[in-house]
Amino acid sequence: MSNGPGASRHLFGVIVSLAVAAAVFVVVVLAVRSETGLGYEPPAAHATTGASVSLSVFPDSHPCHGNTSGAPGGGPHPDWVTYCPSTSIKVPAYSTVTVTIRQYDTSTALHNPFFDQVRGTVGNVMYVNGRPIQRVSPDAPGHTFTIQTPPSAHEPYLFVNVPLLGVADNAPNVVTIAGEQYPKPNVIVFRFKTGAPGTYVWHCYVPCGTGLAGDGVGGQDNFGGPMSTTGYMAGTVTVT
Amino acid sequence: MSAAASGEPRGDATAKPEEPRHVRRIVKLWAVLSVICIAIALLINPLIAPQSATSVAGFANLTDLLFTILAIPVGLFVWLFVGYSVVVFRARVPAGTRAEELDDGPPLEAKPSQQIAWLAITGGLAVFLVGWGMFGFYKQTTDPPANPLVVNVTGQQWLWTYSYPSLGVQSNVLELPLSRPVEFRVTSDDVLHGFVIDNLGVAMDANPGVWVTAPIVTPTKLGNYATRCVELCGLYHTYMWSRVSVVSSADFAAWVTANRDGPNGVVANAGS
Repeated sequence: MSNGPGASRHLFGVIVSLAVAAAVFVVVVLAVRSETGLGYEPPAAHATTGASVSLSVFPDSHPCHGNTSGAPGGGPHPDWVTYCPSTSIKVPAYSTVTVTIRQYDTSTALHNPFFDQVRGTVGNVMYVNGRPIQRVSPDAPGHTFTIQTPPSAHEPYLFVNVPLLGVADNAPNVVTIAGEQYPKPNVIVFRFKTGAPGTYVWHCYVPCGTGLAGDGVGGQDNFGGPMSTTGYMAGTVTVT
Repeated sequence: MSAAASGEPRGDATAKPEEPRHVRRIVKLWAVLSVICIAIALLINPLIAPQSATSVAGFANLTDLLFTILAIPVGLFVWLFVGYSVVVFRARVPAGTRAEELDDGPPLEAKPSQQIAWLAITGGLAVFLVGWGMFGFYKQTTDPPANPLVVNVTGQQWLWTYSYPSLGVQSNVLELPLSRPVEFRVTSDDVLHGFVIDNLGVAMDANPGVWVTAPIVTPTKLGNYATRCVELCGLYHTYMWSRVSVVSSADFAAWVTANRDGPNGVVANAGS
């Protein structure tokens, strides 16, 4: 190894390269760690006193997502089916949470009949307009509300699936919300128990989206658009 | 021959120091590092390899270890050769000289015997590994056990669901009886997913519109494991997993009884 200015420059280059590489690594790690969300979601819907959550499902986004002034206006995709007012839900730990969902949409046939059954709720039952229901016909749900446990939180294992019965195709529009007409909703109520604090995800498993999520083999389409976008048919349940 | 030995005066600017035996250096370094790295691989592998709960998974772990041990000397030789050359044979720029004024070094001229040896060794390793894989696949597929428990697996963004057609059970967790052969039939309802249970040695694509089967596996260890999706499949891909429990026959029978046929009572229709 030679000494002199050349060696000094060489050593300086090595040190600078290592410092730059370390800085890039640190920046990437910090950026990844700071990304705690899953993308766009409206402000969280908190469980109120008594741990209850109230949501609605609309066949379009006109009553939700706001416009530039914050008022309902459909957001960037006014024709997308959506949950409202939020897909970010916060509920208390070690509680029984009562969820009320007003379902304004018509039904779409399930591809997977597994989701036609109420699972994981208290008594494995939901109440549709006050009537206890444990299973719907596979072509009857408008959407599902399905909570699942991320792999990083094996305990407690939370799984809830509620098929939200669709309204009849010929139901008249009798409700006006944000200037839009909708049929009388099915009011679906169910309860589930939370465990230790953690973050779970929920999703709709009825193919109610737009376009193709993949190559559409076998006609399996409509898994794209709102089905693959948080803030519409997917979100988080944070147990605090 | 050194300057002193040849009788030439010390400090003669034209005298060249004896050239080290570079190949011998590299080979020695390579041998030592190979032994060290193989020892490290043998120590670390049991710590990071998934616990094998079937003979197929055990063979997969053994294959992984074998491939690693065989790859270490080959990879090390390449990296050592390149690294040694970069350090030892790099051009040194004399003071007052610009780098672009330097002449190229002498070209490398490999001996045919070295080339033949390199090709023979690496080619032989590759052929051995192909043979090893074919032998393993043959062992897994020949003489499949009779009367396996069939489990239909459906991947859907972003959940695995399981159906036991002979038992009338559907579930989002995979429950398996100990010592009973299991045949997985896998499909997808939307996009391509990858169905993997490391501990059971099961890894197969879930293709939309197609049912795919894998070699039959027989769980041999009680325990809780996990499935995962290994194809990037969208928003919640990283959440696409489920529990796998290998339980005793009695516990499995109880689980089937508790989950069979789903709920009785009203089946609601749209608008009802």
